[in-house]
Order: sequence, then structure tokens, then C-alpha cells
Amino acid sequence: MEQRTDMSAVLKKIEELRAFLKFGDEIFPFISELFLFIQDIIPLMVKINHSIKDSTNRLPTATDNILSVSEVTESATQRVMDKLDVIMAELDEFSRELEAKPHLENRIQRIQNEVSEIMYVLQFQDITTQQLEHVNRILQAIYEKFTNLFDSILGVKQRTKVGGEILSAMEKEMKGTDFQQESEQFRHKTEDKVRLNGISQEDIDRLFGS
Amino acid sequence: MTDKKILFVEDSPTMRRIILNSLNRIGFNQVIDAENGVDALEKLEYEEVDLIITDWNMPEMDGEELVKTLRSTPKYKNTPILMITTRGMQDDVLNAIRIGVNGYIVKPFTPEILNKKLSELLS
Repeated sequence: MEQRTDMSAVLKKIEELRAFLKFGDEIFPFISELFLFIQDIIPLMVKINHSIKDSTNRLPTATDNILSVSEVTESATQRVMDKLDVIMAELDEFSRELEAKPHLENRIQRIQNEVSEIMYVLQFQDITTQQLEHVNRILQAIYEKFTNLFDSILGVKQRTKVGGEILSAMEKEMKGTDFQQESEQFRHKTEDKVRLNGISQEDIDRLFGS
Repeated sequence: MTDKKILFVEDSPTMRRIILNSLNRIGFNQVIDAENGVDALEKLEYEEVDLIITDWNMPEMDGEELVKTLRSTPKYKNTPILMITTRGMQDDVLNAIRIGVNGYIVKPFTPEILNKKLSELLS
């Protein structure tokens, strides 16, 4: 367990420091508390760091999916509107031809109103797109925060020897720790279940044919 | 049918079609559309309009900035402005009033509401 040895080495150094220094009565309890805190916090940080990295890696896929939803719904809505425009134009034409028959003209008017209502219902596309864009902006901001955080960690690692040693020890601890079960659970929870455009129908048919 | 000319500013292609369709059905045939505030200001350089309809959330220049710019331009200081937006909180409406918006509709809207607001603003 070389990783354990690295982590132990960091903790051992802190303990040596404590033993080496002649602490006053007042400072000693504080340093002891600090030591215990570091001892407890490092394994916790190792775990948090792993989870955050796992989550952060998923964010770009999530934002891409949201963008794709907006594009697909907009395109579909436009197609529906194209059809509604054609129906409306036909009804207008029909209405003009039936001017002499008021009862039929009224029926046409009612159909036109229904078509017009469908057109208004399609406002949902703009509203949901704006809501999705909001979620996307939040996800992107979170992603940027975390990537900045990881950059800062690298900075801490480079700035001080102690910081570098603690973080290297943490990294080794992470590599040595079995996060597989946790990762599996996380992957299951965050799995992308709408996996479009992965394979064409021709490819599927080819696979079935083989 | 009316001879009034309307400029509407909206970034969503879906909403642009809905509004254009509504305006035509209500009887407005002189309609100009713009995709955002910048586009609107460019079009207003060579177009005279009687009323402006604008969305709030738009890229490049949003509705709030557009209204502020228009209200600081003598030519458009008194032109009626109707805002159609997804921003439906009281603060938003108050802010719109403060910057000089004359009418406010929260999406989704009905043709009756649009017609009523346009009649109020153009009377």
C-alpha cells in the first residue's frame, strides 16, 4: 500500500512538527485540534474531490443535450407552423369561394379559429427554450466554477511544498481507493437515457441482418 | 385593416411567426420584424413606425436596453412600446414601467389580449 504510506508520511510530518516544536500551553490544544481536523478532513476531501470530478465531467454532455432539445423542438415547431400556414391559406381560399353560403363560411371561420389557437399554443416552444437556456447557463457556470477550482488546486500544489505534498498524497490516495461502486451508482443515476443519433436505421438493419 | 406601421422585436423564430400571423389577422399589414435590439435600431434608422412591440430576453441587445435607448432618442421618446415577455414577476413589470414601456403582456398570450393592448396603445 504505497498510497497509504504517502498519506501516512504527510500526517507523520505534521505529528513530527508538533513534537518538535515547544508549544506553549495555549497554542498546543489548538494545534492538536488542527491536527485532528487535517487527519479527518483529508480522507473526506479525497472522496469529495472524486465525486466532484465525476460530476464535472458530465456537465458538458448535459449542456449539449439541453441545446439539442431546444434545436429539435424549434425545428419541429417550425414544421408544424409551416403546415398550419398551408391549412390557413387553403381555408382563406375556401372561404372566399363560399362567400355565398354563410353557414359554410361560419364553419370555415370556426376551423380557422381552431388552427389559430394551435398556432398560439406553440408559444410553449419559446417559453420552454428560455427555461432550458436558464438551466444551461447555471450548468455552465457550475462547470466553470469547478474547473477554476481544479486550476486553483494545481496552483496550491505548486506554490508550497507542504501543499504540494498533501495534494500529491491525496491524489495517490484517490488512485488507491476503490471508488468503483460509488462511480457505478453515480453513472447509473446520471446516465443519458436519450441516446439519439448514435446509429442509423441502416446500421441497425445491417446488425440484425448479420 | 389599419394603416399603422408596427415594428416587433423578437429573437425566437417561433414567436416571430406567431406575432406576425396575429398582427396580420388583426389587420396590421405594415409590419417590420427585428431579431434583437441592435437589429431594431438599425431598421428604425430608415423606417417610421407607430408602435413597437419588443421581447425582453434577447441576445446582443435586450428589450430593456432597447427601450432605454429609444426613450433617450427624441424621435422615439413618445412612441408606444408594448413588451411581450416571459418575465412575469411584479418587479419586472415595475421595471418596465420605470424605463418607459406603455403596455406589458406575459407569454403565453392570446390574440384577444394582443388585440386589446394594441387598441389601447394606438387609440
